[in-house]
Amino acid sequence: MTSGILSARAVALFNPTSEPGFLQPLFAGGRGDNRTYVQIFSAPDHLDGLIDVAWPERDVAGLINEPIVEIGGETLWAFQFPGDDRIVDHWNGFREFMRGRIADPVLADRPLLLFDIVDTLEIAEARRDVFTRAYRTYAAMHGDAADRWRNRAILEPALAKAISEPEGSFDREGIEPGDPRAFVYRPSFRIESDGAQTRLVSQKPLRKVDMQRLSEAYEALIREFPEILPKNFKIVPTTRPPAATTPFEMPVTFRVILTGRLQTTALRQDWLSEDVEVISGSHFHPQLRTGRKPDLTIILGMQTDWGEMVRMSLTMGADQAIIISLSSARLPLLRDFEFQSKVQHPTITLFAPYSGGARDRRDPISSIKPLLRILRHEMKEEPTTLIQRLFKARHNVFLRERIVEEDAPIEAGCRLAAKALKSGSRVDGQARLYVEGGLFFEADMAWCSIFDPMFTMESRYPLEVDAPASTLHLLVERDEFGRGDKEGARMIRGIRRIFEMRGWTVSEGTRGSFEIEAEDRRFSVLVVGDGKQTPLENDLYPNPGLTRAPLLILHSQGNRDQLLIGNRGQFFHATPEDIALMVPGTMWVWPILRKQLFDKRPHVSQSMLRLTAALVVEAIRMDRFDATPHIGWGWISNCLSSADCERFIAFVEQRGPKNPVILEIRTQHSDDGAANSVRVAFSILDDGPQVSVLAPASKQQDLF
Amino acid sequence: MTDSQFRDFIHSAPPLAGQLGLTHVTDCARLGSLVASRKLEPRLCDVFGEHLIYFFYGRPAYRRQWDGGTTSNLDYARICLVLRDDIAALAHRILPFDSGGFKRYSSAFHDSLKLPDFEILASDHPLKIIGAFYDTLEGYWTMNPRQPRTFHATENIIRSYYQLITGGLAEQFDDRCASIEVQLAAPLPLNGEVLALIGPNQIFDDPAVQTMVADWGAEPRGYRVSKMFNPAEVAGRLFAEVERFLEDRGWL
Repeated sequence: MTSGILSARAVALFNPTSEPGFLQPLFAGGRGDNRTYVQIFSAPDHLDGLIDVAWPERDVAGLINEPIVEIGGETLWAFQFPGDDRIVDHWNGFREFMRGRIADPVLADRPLLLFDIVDTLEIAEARRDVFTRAYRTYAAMHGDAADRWRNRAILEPALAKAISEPEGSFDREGIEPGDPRAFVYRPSFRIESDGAQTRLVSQKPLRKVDMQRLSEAYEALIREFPEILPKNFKIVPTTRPPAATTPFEMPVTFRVILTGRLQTTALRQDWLSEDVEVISGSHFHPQLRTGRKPDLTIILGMQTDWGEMVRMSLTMGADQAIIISLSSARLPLLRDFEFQSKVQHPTITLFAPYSGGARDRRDPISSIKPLLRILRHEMKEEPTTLIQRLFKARHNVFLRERIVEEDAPIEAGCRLAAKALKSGSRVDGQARLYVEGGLFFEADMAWCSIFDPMFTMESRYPLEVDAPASTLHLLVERDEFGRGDKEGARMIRGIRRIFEMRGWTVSEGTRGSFEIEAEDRRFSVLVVGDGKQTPLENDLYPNPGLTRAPLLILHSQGNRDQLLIGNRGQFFHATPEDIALMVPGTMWVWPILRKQLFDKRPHVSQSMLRLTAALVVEAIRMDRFDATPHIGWGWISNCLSSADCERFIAFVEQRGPKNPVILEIRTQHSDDGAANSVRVAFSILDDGPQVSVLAPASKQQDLF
Repeated sequence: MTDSQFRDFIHSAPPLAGQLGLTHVTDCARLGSLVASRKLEPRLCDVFGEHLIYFFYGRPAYRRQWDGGTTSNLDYARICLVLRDDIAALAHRILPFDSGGFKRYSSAFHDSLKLPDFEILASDHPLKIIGAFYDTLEGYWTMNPRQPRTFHATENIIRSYYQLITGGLAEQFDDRCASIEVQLAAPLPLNGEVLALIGPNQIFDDPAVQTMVADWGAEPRGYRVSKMFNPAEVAGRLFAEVERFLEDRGWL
């Protein structure tokens, strides 16, 4: 298990081979901490953690300058050249220095050490010569050794990368040294060769798109290494019989420890039959358990019980464990930051309003079932590396977005990105995307690249998980208190990135706003947190009309009524989720208004009636109405434009968001005192509002 | 007095077909003496008080201190010799687990059990232990014995070992508890005995190592040291390298 320290200083270097080559920096913590640490990293340039080790008995050289490393920052590297020459530097500086020393004569007679240098530091321009020379060195020692080494050391990593397979990482939290489930890189294929042909023997079925990528990757490798690769490449389905059940393939098991109020909630199904053991925290201590440990322990609790979750996590020891927090608030709260500062294990927060306790009849495990499904899928081949692969960031949020057939991928992606932003995700944070249900997704659709402006996506393609409904899931890094932007700046930065996702060009504006531009149209955008930040309208100027508003105001915390009230005015009001509908080059105002007014079963309010009235007037102005002779549209327009227009309009019914809304417009009173009215069907289409007459209504009204 | 229960049980078991070879794991710091001598020399063992060379059957277990703590030793990069199966015929002693860890296992056994109770006949091959408890060589490799099994009340030693390798004891141990140990008491010249030398890529830059490997007819199999800076990574990585060698040979 990694230590909890966040930074350390390098005090010495250990030489694991007693020969020239890579050295391992040894670190010390702060004052009073007399332990020795080494770095843990899953990517060569990113420090994931520090673990304590015993001070080596020999082959240790002290450092005078003591470089500092910080968790999440650059790693520190060192190299011993033949003689006394040595380099110690952080990754980027180290890499550049070593790049300049590749041709150093002292390394000339060490072709395999050169291979390690070039391969580790990914020095592309040196690969051809160095790798070829390394191959020849092995070939000179043993006839078959060179081909087998090349297959393992060059081909398999390169081809695995082509189909985004994880190569594994260094840290194996919770795994005892020598445990057979410690790191074993097992790609889903093996490379065999016989001089004339390279064969890729797959251990599992390959998608057509992956086979294409593998072939293309091999073609590129032939161009790079023409002297050491056969030209003939073949992908063959495996003939290897299925392996006997092994610890690597045993069913994945979860142990979920309920904390706080969740402990008194009754479970509604037998989770053990799904390999999930559920225990109350008050009955659990890891030292008392016997039998096989689970592959993953999950500490589950409500956000408000964060203290209980922290206490439980401290008892976990070396067990592989994460914390899942059920939050009733979509926005990050101060207690989230307190929680983050105290906890050592990776955390996932998901929005699941849950009161907990005996009165809540929902099963708490049900709320995390989609997440369990994904974790199970991730652990199928590599249960022991889950923490390292999934949790590059310590704190994360888990979000989902249901997809319907008509959804354009970018639209769904923008909605999900907006949700993530409002949940406290870090802009440019680490993110993984999952696709559940294959109905609407094409295998080669570049879902992950949609999120590139917003997050650091861990792979080019999302992980596909079997499930009944089509859903996008995003596991993304959550911002930590004291790190990164302040909340307002984070929100603005994130919104700007969502516009980029949507296809807009973003540039600086004036007085706190920014500009978006596409298809020769340009708008100013102002992001506001609460209503007090909304700029005042100028009563001296007439409203410019919905499609001609000079300023787009995005409410990061706005409610529906604020938007509806605002959209009768001089500016256009929307939310970050609405950016999904802002397709450049289209009249995006109308789909947004349709969503604001009619997307879900609407709560009829004064603001809703007033905006609807304004839209009916707009439809009349745009000549988008039935020219029925006996209907006085001019009079209707006047009534609905008045200051108390809500007197003249009422909702009758709405049969679903895709159907027109039925309105009743009261025109004038007849002689007997009853109101005359007309029922109209009102829709907001993609190019504007539309109103058509249904029938004059009876004097007995059926109102909402 | 030593109980022959376990020894007799193994002696009567049929050996499993196939082979995995023997492994001897050491570290880079000892490479120089290996190149100079071209043999393995027995060294004083504090468990038995004898000069012994230790091997494990198939699995590249590494005999180091059972400290049981969370602090890991920062080991030198390891090298592993994979040797021919026939070496087992020279055995001085064969045990079904790492003898160095017996003090830890014994706390989970009945206190009447001693280390010699688990010795098998030196003339029996490790494949008999595998045949007695596993269905396949892969089962031994991945610590997946035949289950479920029951034993008579009088088969307490056999049952204790079975519980050890199935994780049925109160305490869990790492894979050394199921790795068959083969001890030699005499020096072992390595010419003609080594099938593969697994180690950091850079050791094969040394002309003396190149000559040695070529003389042995052994396959050099290098790995990248900079992938293995986490102490917990080291054992697993070597495990993967040996596993791959055995698969390339078609033995696994």
